[in-house]
Amino acid sequence: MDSAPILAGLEAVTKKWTRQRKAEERHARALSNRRSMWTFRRRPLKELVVEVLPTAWNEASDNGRLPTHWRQVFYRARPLVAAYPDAERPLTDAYFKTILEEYIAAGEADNWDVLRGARGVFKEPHTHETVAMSTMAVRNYLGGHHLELEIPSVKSTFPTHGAKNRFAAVLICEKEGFDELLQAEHIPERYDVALMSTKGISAHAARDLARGLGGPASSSTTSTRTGS
Amino acid sequence: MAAGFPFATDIGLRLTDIEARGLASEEQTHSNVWATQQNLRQNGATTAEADYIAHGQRVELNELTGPQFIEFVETKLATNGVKKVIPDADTLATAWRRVRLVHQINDLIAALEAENAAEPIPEDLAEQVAAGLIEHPEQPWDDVISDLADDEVAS
Repeated sequence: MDSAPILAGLEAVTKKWTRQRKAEERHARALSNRRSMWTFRRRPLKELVVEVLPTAWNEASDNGRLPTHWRQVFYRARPLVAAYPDAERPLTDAYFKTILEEYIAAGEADNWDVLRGARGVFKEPHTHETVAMSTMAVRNYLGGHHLELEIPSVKSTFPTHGAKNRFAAVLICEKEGFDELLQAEHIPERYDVALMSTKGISAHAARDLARGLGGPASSSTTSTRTGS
Repeated sequence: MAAGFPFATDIGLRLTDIEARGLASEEQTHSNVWATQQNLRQNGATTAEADYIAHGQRVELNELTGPQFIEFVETKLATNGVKKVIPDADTLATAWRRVRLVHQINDLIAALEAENAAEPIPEDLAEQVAAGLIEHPEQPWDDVISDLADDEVAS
């Protein structure tokens, strides 16, 4: 008996499954494609994202009350998209960001205060003013100033350096994008806490700063940390 | 759990926080479940938390909505006794004297500003600024004016 046709048939039938398994061996993330791999009539991801975006935005931003980092919107949108059985593939953060930016550029979200992380800096000559290239910092730089030509009054703020007499704790967040939210709700002022973010890594400078602030010279300081 | 910050109080998301808020998890993979569990346990995770993560689940802070995140942080700060700063008595006394002086100085500045407004402006000011910038090209225009005014006040 010739086994070749049987083997060829088996290979043809299992070709898609083999491709999926090999993809999973290469990248663990490919596992999430299993659920939709046998769905024949799929809806484009972009169409689904646009459909759920208003709901995701309202949930993440408390109906637009709070400035919200785009990743928080992504985390609300992802399960909403995943609930569609005919989604063509799982939603990734990078693709969501692309769709979100197109959506905003199309004028569909004019009143949304979507925040993006800083990418680079802007430096003025002579004044040495430095602006981090984040949504909020650029907005404050462009719109937050009104020029005072009068001699400024001497400030009554008591001079401090570091934690002593100024802040009670350092709130270390391993994720970026939460500072604006905390500031919008006046958490640093209401609790006298300094904010530190570390972009998901424990940098030497961040450790040195946090340890230095918590030393004997500032024994009242409690360093606190929040992360995933 | 407070990797890199062993001296800090960890207020990160715990399994109890996740369950209390009904937060959805996402999948992640670990090549060595046992090693992951051991590492997590050594860093302060409970057995249930170590199992949760080692068996492929995680919850990012981004899973919290804005109001949920604020409520979470405020609860943790309050639980850990973070309170507004009040300096010692000596510092308060120093601050009191200092701030009285600041108010007196500010009153003086206001009086001098009114007096200064009547002073004449040099007619060739633009030419003097241009000449100053040629002499010191690294200076901005307002530094040149400051030097000119300083000379005029001193004389």
